[in-house]
Amino acid sequence: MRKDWNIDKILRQGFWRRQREEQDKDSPQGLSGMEPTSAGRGVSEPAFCPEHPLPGRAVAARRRLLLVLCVYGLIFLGLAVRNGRILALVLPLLLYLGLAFFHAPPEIRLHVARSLSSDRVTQGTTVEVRLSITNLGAALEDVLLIDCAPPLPLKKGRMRLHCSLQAGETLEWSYIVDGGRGNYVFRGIHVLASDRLGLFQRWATFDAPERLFVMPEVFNLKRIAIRPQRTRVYSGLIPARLGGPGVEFFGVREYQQGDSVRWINWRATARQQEKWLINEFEQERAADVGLILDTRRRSYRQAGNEVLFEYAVQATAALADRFLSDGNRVGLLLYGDLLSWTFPGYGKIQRERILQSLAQARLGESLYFDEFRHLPTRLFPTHSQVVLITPLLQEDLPMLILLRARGYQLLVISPDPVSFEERYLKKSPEIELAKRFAYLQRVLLLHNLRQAGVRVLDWQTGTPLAQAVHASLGRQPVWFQALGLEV
Amino acid sequence: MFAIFPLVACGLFWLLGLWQGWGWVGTAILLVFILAAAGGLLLNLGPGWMLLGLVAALVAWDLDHLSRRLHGAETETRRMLERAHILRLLPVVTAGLFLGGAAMVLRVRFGFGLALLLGLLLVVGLSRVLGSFAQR
Repeated sequence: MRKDWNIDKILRQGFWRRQREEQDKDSPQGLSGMEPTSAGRGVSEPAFCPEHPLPGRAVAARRRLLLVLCVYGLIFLGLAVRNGRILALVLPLLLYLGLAFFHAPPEIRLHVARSLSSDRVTQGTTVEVRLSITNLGAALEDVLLIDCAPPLPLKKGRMRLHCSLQAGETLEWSYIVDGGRGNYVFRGIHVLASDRLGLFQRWATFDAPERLFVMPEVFNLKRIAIRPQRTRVYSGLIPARLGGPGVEFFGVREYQQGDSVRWINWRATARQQEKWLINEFEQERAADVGLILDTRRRSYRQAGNEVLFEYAVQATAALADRFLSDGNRVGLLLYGDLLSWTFPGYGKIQRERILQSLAQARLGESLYFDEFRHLPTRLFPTHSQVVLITPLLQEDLPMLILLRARGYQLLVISPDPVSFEERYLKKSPEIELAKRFAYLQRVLLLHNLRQAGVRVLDWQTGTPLAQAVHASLGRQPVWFQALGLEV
Repeated sequence: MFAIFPLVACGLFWLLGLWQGWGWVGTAILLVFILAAAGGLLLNLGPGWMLLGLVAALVAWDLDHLSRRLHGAETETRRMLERAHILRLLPVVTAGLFLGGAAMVLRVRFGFGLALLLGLLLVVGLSRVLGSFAQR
């Protein structure tokens, strides 16, 4: 009971967090870039985006203080020694201060609008970020604009701009970024206006929110032959173990009124007396497919970096795309530091949901979800198809066997960490020996899984996923199956 | 005459600070030059040179800050802002030299009390003006 409550709580937290993020995105504040979220003349930090500090704000105050102290010092010295010429030295400093004060920046009133060339791209695609800044107030003679952009690699242009803005002038500014998989939030821009001599400054922060999803690349896979024990009522491509309309021969049965005479099995009927037999085909229906992506950091630790995880994410995206294209109902569970559950659904919208969830997938650590022992199996309908994408750990074996025993059709797609890591290691006798040990251990693990009735795809990441899937999980021809050569 | 050498050394140290990116050197040397100008006047050295030295130090300090502020700006923008900055600085330098020079040449006699009053007025006025920016 306690375990279930915890899972519910964690799932609920994830749900509310997503809801809050959606609300934040749609809030009216997000649509307006006219009113500054924060503004001032001091040296306090802006309301958001502390990772992009405004440079030189404290410097201006220090310079002003230095000049004022020099003026005071010269006045007191001149009076103390009764020397008018020392007092005369104050004049250039006073003029400098006076002119800067006369041209001190007015209140900053800008309209800031941001647009992205695309708010949803796949990895490796560049995105142009365009900013349009209109000065609604008085002229600003020296302005530093800093975009509070997420940490994306800059391909072209700049994320900060030094310029001057006349009253009513509109400045168009753009730069190009690209980046790895993720959900990136652009917030707003910091504006630092000062006089030309840099003694008096004002700053403001304007909202210009946008969100960029960098999705994992989706590779096209050919048909994957899955055969869950239970299917849904809707027609699809999964053999349903039920007779009815279909393509594959299923059996013969007695003719019933309304059956098409085209399906009468004349040979079988000739052997019977007073009975008409017709061919029956296997119904093909949609199925429930639950994808589980292992996001536990320790599963990928042996590979030493996050590249293997990227392979796993790409495999999950490709599998989700394939199963949804075949008309199945697909859900996704990210199992790592916490549970992120994408509720099962059909079609393109579900594909988008799954890709967005995968875009945000990160490796994490949690004591509670350290092992698959706490896998929330009740999220998946009994006897449905479960596809687990994981490099596999030795400790995972009992839970996977248990899943199989509970009636789930389990398919494990396992990017091979041994061969993956081998690529990054120097050749030496010790490494060779260690590799052989690790390889034997893995072979034994996969063998035990197969013995338990779990289908396993041992994916060497050097081979394209489509090729590996087609070879191991593609639908076998009937004659191939009839000869008992089923893989 | 020998006082020139420390000042030249200060100038060279400033250049070294610019090269090394030491932000505090400019401020420290401006203070040195202001103190040197005041000291020179106390020692009855040429007032024109003292004034010129102070204004030159002020200009150098300002341009040092400008180069730091525009570091990383696009070349075209940088040129435009530099031009505008120098156009703003030029009247300050001209008027500062002219008014300062005039103040050094002209001799107006008034008592210590009046001088103290004027000095206090200047201090209070300047403080109020700067305070008004913070309150505005």
